[in-house]
Amino acid sequence: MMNLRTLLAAALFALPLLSTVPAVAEDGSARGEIKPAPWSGDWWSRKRGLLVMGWNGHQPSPFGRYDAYVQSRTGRNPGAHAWESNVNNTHYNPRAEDWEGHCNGWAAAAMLTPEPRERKIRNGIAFETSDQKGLLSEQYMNTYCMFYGNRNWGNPGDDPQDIYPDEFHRLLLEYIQSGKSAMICDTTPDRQVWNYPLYKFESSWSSGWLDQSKLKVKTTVYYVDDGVSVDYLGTKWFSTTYTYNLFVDGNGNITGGEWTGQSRDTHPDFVWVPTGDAPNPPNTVQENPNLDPKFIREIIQGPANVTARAGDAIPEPETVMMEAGLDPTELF
Amino acid sequence: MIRSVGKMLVAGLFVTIPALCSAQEANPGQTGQAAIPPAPPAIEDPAENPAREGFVPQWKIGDQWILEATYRDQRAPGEVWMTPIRWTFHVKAKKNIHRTDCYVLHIYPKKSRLKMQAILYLSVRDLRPMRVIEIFPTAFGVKSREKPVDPFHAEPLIGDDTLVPYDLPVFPLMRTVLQRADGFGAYAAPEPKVYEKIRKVAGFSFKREMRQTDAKPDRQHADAFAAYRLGGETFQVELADSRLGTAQTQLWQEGSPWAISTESRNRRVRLVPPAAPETLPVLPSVTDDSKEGEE
Repeated sequence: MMNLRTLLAAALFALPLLSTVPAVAEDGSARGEIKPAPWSGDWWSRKRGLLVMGWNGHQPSPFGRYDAYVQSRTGRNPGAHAWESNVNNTHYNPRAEDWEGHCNGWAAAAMLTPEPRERKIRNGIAFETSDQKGLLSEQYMNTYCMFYGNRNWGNPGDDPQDIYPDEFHRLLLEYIQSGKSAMICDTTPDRQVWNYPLYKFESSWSSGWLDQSKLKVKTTVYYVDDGVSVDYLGTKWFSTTYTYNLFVDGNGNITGGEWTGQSRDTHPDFVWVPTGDAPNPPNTVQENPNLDPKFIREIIQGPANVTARAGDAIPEPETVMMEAGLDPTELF
Repeated sequence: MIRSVGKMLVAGLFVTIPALCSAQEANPGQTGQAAIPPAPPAIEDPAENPAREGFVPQWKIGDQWILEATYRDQRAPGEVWMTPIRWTFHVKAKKNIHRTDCYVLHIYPKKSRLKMQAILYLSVRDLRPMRVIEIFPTAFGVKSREKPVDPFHAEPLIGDDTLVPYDLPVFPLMRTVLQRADGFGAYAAPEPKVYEKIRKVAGFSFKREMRQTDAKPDRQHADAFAAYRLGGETFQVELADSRLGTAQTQLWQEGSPWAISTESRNRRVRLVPPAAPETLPVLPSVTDDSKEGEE
């Protein structure tokens, strides 16, 4: 009889839990990968100033070559090198902090443009892959982007748990698993910013017997590394594992979450997904205003050796739709 | 005792199994380019006309308007706002989808290389989204994705993962001006409407609570947008996401095809008046750069 009572008590205890078991509250896993992965490249430290100083065996610098090319096209020096060299503009500053650089420009360019993989000769001026990556890293310092979470400025009131893990998990599924796009994470939750493109993840989760309202999740993410030489080609990666709980309601909906273990202190600060190049915001020095994307396209796109001018037309809306595989006549 | 225990367990199984089944059905995997789901019953009832109850914008095929949107650079310190993008909204057609008459609205950036667009199928009756297609750029060309929407679950339409400013409240917007006998307008703030915002991604279902609050337009808004006045009523709507702490305020004006203003902490959108010059009056921290988002 004692056993029967125990059984009854267990059944009564378990029934309410079982009746609310959502479909997602089971052990499971998910993974996703963006192919091809974004490319690795230098993050162009402000302190070292390679974009304007060049480096051993590489003179003129990337910006020196750019100015020379534009001058060959227009008869006028655009002054990109001069602007970048001016410490007042903060892009090159021997006294900058060690972590300051063009990592956001590199990360966006690595996601939005194919990797430059061959030397280009334009009007007789050679642009190595390192020059091309350097120019792209500056061009994409400003991008239109989707932004998730809030940047931690180290101010009182900044939420150390943000970005919340339920939002982070949604973004992994929304962007990576669906094959939509890589996404860029600031991997340090403090005031420093270290931007890396996240292009792959593997996630697994389980729920406890007695607490179906939480999924315990372990997710390993793969970031594209920028700790490479300037002429590196391909994708060098590093991985990090995060742990978090997702809160599940009686209908199987994720309603919130919490970082757990070491991830409380090591989770990403914010996530952004660049969608296109943007002009320099007025009265700011975020991007070199003397660098014209039109000329960068001329340098990077097309065959290895070009002396003629490239076309620069803005595409029609329906052309973009067709490029996306949609048929305007069917949809309209 | 044994019999009663058996009854309880059997009853428990009857309760549990359907609950499990229904929960599993509620979470289908939905990613990538989803096909159009099977046609549910039409939502249109000719006897009902929401426009009679409140405000629903009315369009016709060929209508076009332009929104100018600026976005705060949240990576940068201070109030840095990106160069505005002008978005063309074009009513391309009317189509029947799920046995419901819909406007087909094509939204794309005006004179820009930015390859982001949206195609919305919105119910003529109340602008309820029936189908949403988003177009976005990648390093290797442009892709499209069908955003899962449930036409039978009312909730504000929010573009969480796109720059295209197509956010819409649930229509109709209630008329808030009540005329009292003494001739002075009386106003009673309505209760916020709370909607469950369900986002289904890859078998997961993420739930947020969206609050839609209709309010009387602030005086500052009423003054600032006098240029849009067409003689009709102005509606102010606040859309707030409790979990993410985000909120936006929209101003709708009878006679205007879209919200004349949408403002949040990170995004400002204005309807460009039809006869307006190329640029709008300068807002704080925003300039009238005429590049319109061109590279």
